[in-house]
Amino acid sequence: MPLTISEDHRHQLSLLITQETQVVKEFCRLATQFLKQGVNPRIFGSAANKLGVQPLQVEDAIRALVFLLSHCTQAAASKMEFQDITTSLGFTKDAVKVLTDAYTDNETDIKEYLKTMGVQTPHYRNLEWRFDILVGSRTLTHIAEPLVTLQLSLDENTARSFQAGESGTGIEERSECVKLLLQTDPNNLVHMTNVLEEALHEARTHHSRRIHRHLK
Amino acid sequence: MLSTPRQLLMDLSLKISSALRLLGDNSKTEYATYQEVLRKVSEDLKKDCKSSTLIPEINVRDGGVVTHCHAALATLFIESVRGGHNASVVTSALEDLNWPADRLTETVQELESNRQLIQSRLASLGTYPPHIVDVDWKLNYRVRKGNNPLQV
Repeated sequence: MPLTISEDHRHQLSLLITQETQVVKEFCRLATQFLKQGVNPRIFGSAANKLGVQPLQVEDAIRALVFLLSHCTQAAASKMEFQDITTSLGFTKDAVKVLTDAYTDNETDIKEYLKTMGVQTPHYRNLEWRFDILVGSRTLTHIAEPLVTLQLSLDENTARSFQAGESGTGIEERSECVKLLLQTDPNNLVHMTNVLEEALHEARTHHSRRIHRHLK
Repeated sequence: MLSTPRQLLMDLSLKISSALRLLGDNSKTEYATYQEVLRKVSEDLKKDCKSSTLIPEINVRDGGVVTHCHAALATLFIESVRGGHNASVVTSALEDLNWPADRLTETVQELESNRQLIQSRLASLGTYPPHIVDVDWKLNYRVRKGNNPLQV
């Protein structure tokens, strides 16, 4: 995937190009904080006062920096490629070093965050089972019905934007565990086991292996 | 494990017993009426929705007594399936209520032919967790995810 930065983002990052390395370092710290837990809007105001610019420009710069880091992580850009792109934006050598350090240090966190974006499906976490015999109910006494009760735990990664007064603006990543209580009988359980065995078998066929090799 | 003895007698209330006694009495209930009640009970237990009223001509003279007999016979059927009482227990219960042999045999036969259906209806009542009956699967290889991870 080609690494390109649009004109709007270049313009938003231009605020940082003229700043000292220490300021760039601070902005990198704010950018990673923005991703993880959000930034208090007052910070934008105080930073803007110190730099003599509008708070909105500070916010845009931080957002553009977040985009730069996540865009390069998504493209799996190497250290060299990241350095090239930051140099092409007009950053000084020291600023490039600071930005590259921020990129490499936070690569894992940004990757984890990117995993939560896009199409999310609940993911298997755990399955607890219990074998019961139903001996009677209000409507039917004197029965002996075997049942298997299952508790299926699923992980749902959600990422949602929030704007709350105290914690500021940002994007929060949450992993929710959903527990489902289900029931089945031994016959259906055997049937399901056979169907899922077919699925595993399909993954080992020549056709699936050929596709996997081509896509690698 | 000690096995507990199954109930050998059916426990029917006074109201139900007296209505059944009336239904089985040759001198008080005509055979045609009894047959109509038996047919209606079978039909109603098979249906999903609420049943319509009995044939009007039967009801007019008796002032709702036939409806009571219908309810009593339906209760007998449901209680015998619910308690797992076999044909002999039902037969002895109806013999105690002085039912003649022909009506008794016919009723027990009708009960046995509907037993499975009534049992499955009763089993479906109640609160249970979702019951899994089948599973579908799909094998995917993820090629690539979307382009814009963050909108700024």
